[in-house]
Amino acid sequence: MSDWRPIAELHLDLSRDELRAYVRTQIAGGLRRAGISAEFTVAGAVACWHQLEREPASPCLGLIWTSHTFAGTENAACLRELAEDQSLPMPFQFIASAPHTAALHATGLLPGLTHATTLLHSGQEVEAILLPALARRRPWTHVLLGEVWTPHPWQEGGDRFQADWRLLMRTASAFPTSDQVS
Amino acid sequence: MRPVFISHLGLWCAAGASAEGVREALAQRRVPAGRLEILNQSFPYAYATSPGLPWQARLSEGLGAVAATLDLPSLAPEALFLLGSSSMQIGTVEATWPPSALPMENFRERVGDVLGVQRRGWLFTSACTSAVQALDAGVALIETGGAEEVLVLGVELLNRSTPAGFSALQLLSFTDARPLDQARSGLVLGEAVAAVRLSAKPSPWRIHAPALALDATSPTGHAADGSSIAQVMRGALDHAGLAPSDIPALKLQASGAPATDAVEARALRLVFGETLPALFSIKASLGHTLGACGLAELVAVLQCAQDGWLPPTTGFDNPDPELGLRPLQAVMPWEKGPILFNIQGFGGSLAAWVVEGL
Repeated sequence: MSDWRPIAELHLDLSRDELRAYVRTQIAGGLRRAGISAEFTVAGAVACWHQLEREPASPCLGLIWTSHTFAGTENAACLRELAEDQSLPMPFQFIASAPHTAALHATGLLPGLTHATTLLHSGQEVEAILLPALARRRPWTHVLLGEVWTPHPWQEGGDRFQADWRLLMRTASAFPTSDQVS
Repeated sequence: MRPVFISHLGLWCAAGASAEGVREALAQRRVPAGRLEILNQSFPYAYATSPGLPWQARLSEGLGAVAATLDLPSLAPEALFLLGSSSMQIGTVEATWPPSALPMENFRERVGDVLGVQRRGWLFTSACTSAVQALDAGVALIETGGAEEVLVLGVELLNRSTPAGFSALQLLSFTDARPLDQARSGLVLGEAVAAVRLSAKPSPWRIHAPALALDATSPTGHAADGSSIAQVMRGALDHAGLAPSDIPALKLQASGAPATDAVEARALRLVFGETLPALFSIKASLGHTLGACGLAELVAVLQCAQDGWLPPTTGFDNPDPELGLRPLQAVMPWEKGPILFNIQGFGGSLAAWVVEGL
């Protein structure tokens, strides 16, 4: 029997125009100084979390997500500044090019978020192999697993923002013992 | 939980491409002499090889150097291969600008091909803690029986975009890296390929599970009172079953950045009070190797410790009265025991872990 039970799922497939409106519905005012990839990532994670009919009182949440094209998309903006305009990127633009900053933005919007693992193009076997290992020492009650695709400017026909999110809840028998918890 | 051991070390960086070279550079507190031009501004940079070498050739040279000490033919077919990197292969994107595609997503496979190591695994990217996140996963996989052996690499190579971003943030020193020094003026970036083989089989180095944390204070800094850094240090000690008084030596993050060195100093007081362990930072000899730094600094320190000493702090001469810290300025003899490692990065990422020489 698995230690984790899926309790919510979300699939997103949005155009660039649809994305703006979607982010506003999930995050009031959007994210300050975040790139479009971070906004899409965080909006999806938040939306998946809010699918819960009744949110737990004191969750401890882990986030494990795969960024696929995030780094390429956001780095393209910095590279264009450097290569074509011969100027430095804006500081916030450079910071936004790091996929892990999405987790930082998410901390204020996902209750109990204590840990984030950001992976690149590696969705397979995360739930079967990586999650059990990472969760062994951590008292997570829930885990959000996400796979996020963002289009980059040179992708043929690529203006779709797509994501698959799953929220898992730990079964009662699978919590780490006190000597395992960090 | 099963104990986890480090069986092999590999490092290619500005301090050297062999254990002997790294030891010599650290013992002599050698400062890399290279400079990097970014839009008419000149910054010091810690090159691991010739500055003009193309990105792909740098990757091949770095991977070749670490492979020489990893005995990869003996790596089990079912072993996992984990990679940590912040800039990944942005250097190839720069070289072919404007690109027809952004080849960021197959970097782990590309590294595996060069090494001749096609294994299951993942690429972790979390700014300066990228390689430590990979290390953490590797330790967790072996501890829990999910793997018997894991190859962990950290790769960060020269490119133009990363220094440009740090320049935009005004975090780079124009002169040199001076960790904890009164005259510290910013970071000196560098490049590295670093690797360890983790195993369930006993070897002279036992590694305890890293403690990781997210600190949402700001995208580039951490809680000014040092509390979040102190929290991960305590977490690392808990994982090792040790008290602060059990730690004789601590490898600091200390990069020479005025603000972040001060925050780390406050964290040390919170954990250790006034009885501090021997402190040292090696970033001024290696450069700040960003996503690879956790692994690069771990390997460099263990290469010295294997030789019976811990390295002094290159770039430190005059204590900052506000910090009140005096890190090692000369080689410190070392036999065995625990060493605590600190790494902090962008995006609120924090890490600390203990390695014990047995």
